Formats: sequence, C-alpha cells, structure tokens
Amino acid sequence: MILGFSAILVMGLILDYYNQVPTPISNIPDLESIDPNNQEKDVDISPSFQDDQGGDLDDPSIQQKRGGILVLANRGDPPAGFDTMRTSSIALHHVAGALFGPGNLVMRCRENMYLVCPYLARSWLPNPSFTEWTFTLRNDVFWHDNTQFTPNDVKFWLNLSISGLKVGDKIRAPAYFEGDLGEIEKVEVIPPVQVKITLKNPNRFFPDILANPRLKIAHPRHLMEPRINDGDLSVSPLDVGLIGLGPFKFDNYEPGSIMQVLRFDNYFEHDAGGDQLPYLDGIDYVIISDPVAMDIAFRTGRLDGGARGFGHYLSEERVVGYTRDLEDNVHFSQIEGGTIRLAFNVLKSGPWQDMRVRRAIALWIDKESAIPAVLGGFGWTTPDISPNNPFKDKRFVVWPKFDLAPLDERRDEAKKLMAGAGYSNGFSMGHLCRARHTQACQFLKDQLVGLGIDLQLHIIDEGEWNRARVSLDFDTQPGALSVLPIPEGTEGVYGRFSLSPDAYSKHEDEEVDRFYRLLRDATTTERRIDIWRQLQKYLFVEQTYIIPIAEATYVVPYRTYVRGLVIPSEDGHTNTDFATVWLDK
Amino acid sequence: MLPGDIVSWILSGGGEAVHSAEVREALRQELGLNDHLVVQYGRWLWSMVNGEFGGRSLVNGQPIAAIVARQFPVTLLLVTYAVALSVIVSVPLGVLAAWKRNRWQDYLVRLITIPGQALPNFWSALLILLGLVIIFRWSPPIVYTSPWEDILTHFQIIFLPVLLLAWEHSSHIVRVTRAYILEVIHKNYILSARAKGLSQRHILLRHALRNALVPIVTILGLQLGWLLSGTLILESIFGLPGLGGGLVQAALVRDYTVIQSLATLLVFIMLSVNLIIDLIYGVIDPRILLSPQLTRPYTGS
Repeated sequence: MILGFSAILVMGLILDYYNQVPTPISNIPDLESIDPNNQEKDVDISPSFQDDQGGDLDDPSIQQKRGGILVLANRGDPPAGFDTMRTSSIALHHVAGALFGPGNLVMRCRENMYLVCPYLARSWLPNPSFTEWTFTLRNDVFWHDNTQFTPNDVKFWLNLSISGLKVGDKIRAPAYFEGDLGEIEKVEVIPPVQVKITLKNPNRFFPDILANPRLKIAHPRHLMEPRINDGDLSVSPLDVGLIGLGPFKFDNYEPGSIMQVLRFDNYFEHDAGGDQLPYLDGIDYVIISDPVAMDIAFRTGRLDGGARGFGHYLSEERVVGYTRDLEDNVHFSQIEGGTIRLAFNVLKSGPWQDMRVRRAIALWIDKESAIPAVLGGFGWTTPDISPNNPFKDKRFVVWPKFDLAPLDERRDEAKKLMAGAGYSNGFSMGHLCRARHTQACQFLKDQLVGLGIDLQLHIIDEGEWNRARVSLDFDTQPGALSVLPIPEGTEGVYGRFSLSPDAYSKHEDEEVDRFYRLLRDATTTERRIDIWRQLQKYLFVEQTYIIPIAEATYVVPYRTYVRGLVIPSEDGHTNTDFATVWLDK
Repeated sequence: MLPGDIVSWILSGGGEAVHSAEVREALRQELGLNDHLVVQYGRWLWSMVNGEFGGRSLVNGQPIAAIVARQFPVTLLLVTYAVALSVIVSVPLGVLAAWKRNRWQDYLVRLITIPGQALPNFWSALLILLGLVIIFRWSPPIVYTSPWEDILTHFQIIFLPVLLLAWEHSSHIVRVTRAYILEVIHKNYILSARAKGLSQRHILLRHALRNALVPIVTILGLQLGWLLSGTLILESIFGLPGLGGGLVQAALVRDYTVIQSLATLLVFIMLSVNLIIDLIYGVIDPRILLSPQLTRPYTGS
C-alpha cells in the first residue's frame, strides 16, 4: 500500500515536471497591455450591469436557470458567532452576504460598486446641512422567520452598533466600525416606515458609509432584545439561529466542515424581468483553511467556486494548474486587492525620521519587480485605492507618475539623498513582517541592500501583528488594513497616530488633518478628487510617510457554468450575496 | 508569554480592518480580559472542575465542552485507525526485518520506513494529493462524514490521513521492533530454544517477540504524542474537523481558553494512555508484577 502511494507520488512528480510548460490563460487580461503613457484616460465606471463573464444581467433575452446548489470554498469558520458588528473577517463576510444581505439600508450598486443603491431603504433624503438623513424603508422586507423588518430594527441595530450596552458590570462593546459611522446624535423612528438619523456634524457621504458591505444587519431585534433583557448582553446572531434578511436562510452549520444556506422564498429583491431573487436553491460553503487543499478540491470538480481571502486568492502558478486540468471550464474573477507598502514610524527615533531618507528609499525600490516576485504575477504598481476607483488619481494609475525617470537615474538620486542625510554608508532598520507575507518582506530586504540598508525582519504571526501594528514598537511596517473606497474613508490609515492608532505610518502631522478637513468640507466631486490628489502627493512623495509599491490583483476561480456573478472591482467583501448567481448546467 | 492580542484579531478580522482603541478596550472588558491574570486563570480553573470544561471560546462564544464533544470523536477515530494499522503492519515488518537481517527483505523494509520517519507528513500529504489530482483527477471528499452517516465517504476522506499517520508511526515501531528482536535473539535463552530444536518461527514469535514487546509497547505509548501532533496539520489539509485542527486554529487567533482546555485534555489523554501501558506491562511480562518482591532490599533476616 505504502509502496503504491510512493509510486503514485514519484509518477505524479514526473508528470508534473513535464507539465510545467506555461499554458496561456485566455480569460485573464494581460495587465501589461495597459498603456502606461495613456495615463489621463478615464477609468470606465459606466453602469453597464454586466456579470463577470460578460453576460448582461439586465438582458431579458438571457433566461437564468433556477435551482441548484452552488458549492464554494470558505477560508475558515465564520468567527465571533457570525456577528458582523464584531469582525470584518472575510471568513464571515463571504458567508454573511447570503445570510444577511449585501448591504444595509443602502448597498454598493451591483453594476458599479462606487455608486450607492437602495437596499433595505427605498429612498433617502438629507436636510440641507447634511446633519439629518431620513431613510424610507421598503415594506416588503422580512426576517427569515417571516417577521416584518421595521424602522425599530434599524434603530436597535444602530444604537447597538454605536453605543453597545452596559448593564451593571456587564458590557457589550460597540461595533468595530462605530468610528466609521461618525458621531450619530440620535436615531428616531418616524412611523410607519421611516428612520431619521441625526448626526453631530455634517456628512455628505453618510450613505457611502452605510453602503459598506461590512455593515450588514444581522441582529433581529425581536429575537435579540429578549435575550439582552435576560442579561445575555453578548448575544450573537448564531445564538438566535442566524435569522437574517438576505437572499438565503440558514440551514445547517457543522463547524470545521460546512455551512449550508437555502433560498429564502420571501426575499424582496427581483431581477430586471421581475423574477424573484435568488435563482439558486442554496449554497454550500465548505470550510477549507488550506489553500492547496482548496486547489485540489476545485481541480477535481468538488467545488464550483473558490474562497475569498488572502492565501486563497490564486497566484499565476496556481492558475496554470487550474487551466491545465479544467481548460475552458474555469473562469478567473479578478478583484483589486491589498497593496504592498512600506510605512514608517516617524515617531520613533531613527534615520527614517529624515524625509530625505524616506524619499531615497522610495526612489530606490524597483516597484515593477514586486509584481512577479511578490504578487504571483497578478498586480500593478499603484499608490492606493483600486485603479477602477473614480477617486483614484489617474496620474497614479500606472506608477510612478511622480518618479518617471528611469530606475538608474532614480537610484542615483536616492544615493545622493542618502549622502545628503549623512547615511551614505547605510544603516539598520527594523520591519514588522507578517508571517503570511514573508515574500514581500524578503523582497524589501533584498531591494534595500543596494542602498546600504540592512532591513531587519521581525517575522510575527497574525496574533502578534494585530498587537504590534497599533503600537509604536517598530521602525517600519507593511500596513494591510482595508478602508472604504472613498477618500474620506482613508483617514483611519493615513491620519495622525493620536487620532488614528491603526494608521500605517505613525506620525503626528497636522497638515494631514487639514487635508481631511478640506475633504469633509468639499461640496463637489471634482473638489474632492483635487484634494485627494494633493493629499496623496503629500503622503507618498513630499513626506513619503508611506511608500506604496504595488497592488495585488486577487484572483478567484469559478466554474464557467457559474453565471450571474457580480465581482466587485475591489474589496472582496462586496457582492457576497450571490443572489444573481445561477448555474448554467 | 504568547504575544498577540485576541481582541485586535477579532475586531480587525484577521488584521485587515480599522477599529478604535475605545472599542478594543470595551471588547477586552466584555471578554473579561481586563481582569488580573490570576483572576482569569482562577476562573478558567473553576470552569474546568464545575462541568463547563474551560468555559467558552473567546472568539465565538461557543461552550468549549461542545467544541470538544464535536472535535474529539474525529481525532479519536483518526488516531485509533492509525494506531491499529501501524501495529498490524509494523510489528510483523519489524520481526521480518530482524529475521531476514541484511537481506533484501530487510533493505526493502528500511526503504519504506526511513522516509516515513524523515519526511514531514504534511509535505507527503500535499504531494500525494497532487499526485492523485494529476494522475487520477480525483481527490478525497471535502466534507467530513462520520462512519455512522456514510461509511464509504468516511473511508474515502479518512483513508489518506490514516495512511500517512500510520506510515510515520509504524516506521518508528518497525525500527524499534527490529532492533530489540536483534538484541534478544542473541540471548542465552534463545540459544537454549534453538538447542532444543524449536523452529525459527516459534523462537521468534513465542520467545524473541514476547521479550521484545515491553520496549515496543513503551514506544507505542510515547509515540502517541507524535501521533497527536501529526494530526494538527493533516486535519487542516484533509478538512477533518478534529482536535488537532481546532487547536491550531485556536492558537493562531489566541483563543486562550480553548488552547488551555484542549492542551489539558491532550495531557490527560497522554497520561491515561501511559497509565494503561504501565498496566499492560504486567500482562506482557508477569515478572514486572512480581518485581516489588524481587527488588525488596535484603534485610539479613
């Protein structure tokens, strides 16, 4: 028996060796074909409502087939009792979209994630000063136990999110995103179907914030309130049976194995032809924490779609294996993902406190080479926010717009800057390195050797990373936090340390505050884009607090018979409801 | 101290979302992590004896007793199959290797067992899985099924991890069995047995093996720790929702109560197995039961 498997092993290795001939990947666009000189070209954000494979979801001539079970991989067990107030883990939100819906009162539009569409509310209206937002709810929304969704549910959810609870010694922490919601003064129910939210400060972008797919309403008041009144302040959605508002209702959960949901027959969304969503009978989320195990299961036909989440997103090498086994039967969806960057703790003493040193490092790094070396071949050099994002500075779409000189010239300039700062012989500098990102760390270390910088890698696992990144115990760090895809949403990662302890770079630069104040006061999109450009230039070039190197393109495999997928251009938490998905088989 | 912060891990969703220091502090308080370490430890100790078996998971609030009740049977089955298979395979192979010392049978056994000891099982697992994909376009089922639900699917999903664990486990036992048999067969009582005209088979099985069994059984018990550690990664690779995978996951997210409770359970299992082995000694070699009398100090009376 053992000999048999040894023989299989050897044969497999031999065959694999001979199969290493690169296979053309027909359905992945050639990212290098993007013309670097055409940097003023507008990014197309027209609402075409296309599915991920070019099928027009609004086209009534396409007859979506109903039924079937979609089998997807999920990166792990949904943590925190499925509580969307507790965690933004993709292991939860990949599942939670189906259970709790893709949005809140509003959602990111399926056809264009940078626009806000109605979801649980059918309309909304601000007062002239943008301090009061009145949402009118749909009257056909039901919880999965067929209880009507009401404005009181919204009030309950918002109050729980913002303030948490405190009864005697017991407390329930507010939602982790309470800071994103801004300072909500009060929430009022206006019978029968309206909710008025009063803000302490004007906010023109309140619906953008509510459209964040992480803000799913997973807390049925009629089920949770009695538990809370009985003293169970930490009651979670799992404790009350995962009763949600999404297109699919909970069926079965076996931790470590599988999570199953079934179509909710009373779901309110309909397609363009008037047919009720969702099309599928259900979804099986198979818990597969090991990416290689996911690849193997997919390549042998046990999965219809891959998991979302870092590690499970495919690299170029893994895509080759998929296409070799499945040929045209696999489709690769792409989502703009996290950025590799080097962020400095300028509040800690060291050579990097000198702006010339930081700038020299920025000029020295060969950013293009990070794409094959670190990103598995999928990515591009970009400063921040997806290239498809309308707020992206188009001059940045192909990096480096501000550093257009050839690499040799830039490196000469870098050496001059280092000499001018008194560090021509280099220095040693620490770097917080997440164990899951060691390739990126090694890339940075190798890059900086030529500048005389000995980058000391402190390799830490996720537990320690979450502690250290909000501390001042480091010289540099990669930063890897998600932000809302709007300029105002970036203050948490670019702001001053005392206001934003999670910021990538630790600084106390009040000029950055000024930019964010200007952004909040801006009244037109053009003005916002202009300020955003100035801010990026200030952060990335003039002060070089952060060096954005390259942005990953996350690749998720789906079988070609999985139709109607809505893949967001960025942020893998978006469009995880799969309400429009159908199986063409 | 294990570095890291479970509260930040929960709130940041694995390190990819922003949250405020105030929320972090509130959750720390909610989970009782602001209490003095002695208080937290005392609370956990009390929960270990009052029937709650460690209380609740800090990450998902589930009772740890329920987690153990769900995960333990999976690992128990996996380890039982692996031990049974390794005992069935390894002892005869060890005897064979000793009997045919330095002949082709011995070399073949070495060829199988040395890689079994040397190769990390998770690496072998991935290679075998990839081999199956490339050659047969087949992989084991991805959702665990208990033998009571569907014996065939259960066999398909658990066959490879059992084989890999048994390979690693039995490789060591084969080597130990071979070594002790070789040591025993040079003893005088084996020479006497030969002089009495007993067959080689009879000598090996009734005299040499029985006398070599005590160290073999000892190694079996000690190896259980290795076997349990082997399940940690294999359970993740093969999608088995057992204690090993659960412990790894808990360690990664700093779910202290779960780590402590599962570690305590594993220690208890190790101690119990070694106690059982101590008792088995007496069955294998009755002289051990008599040893107190035999070793009583001479008093001169």
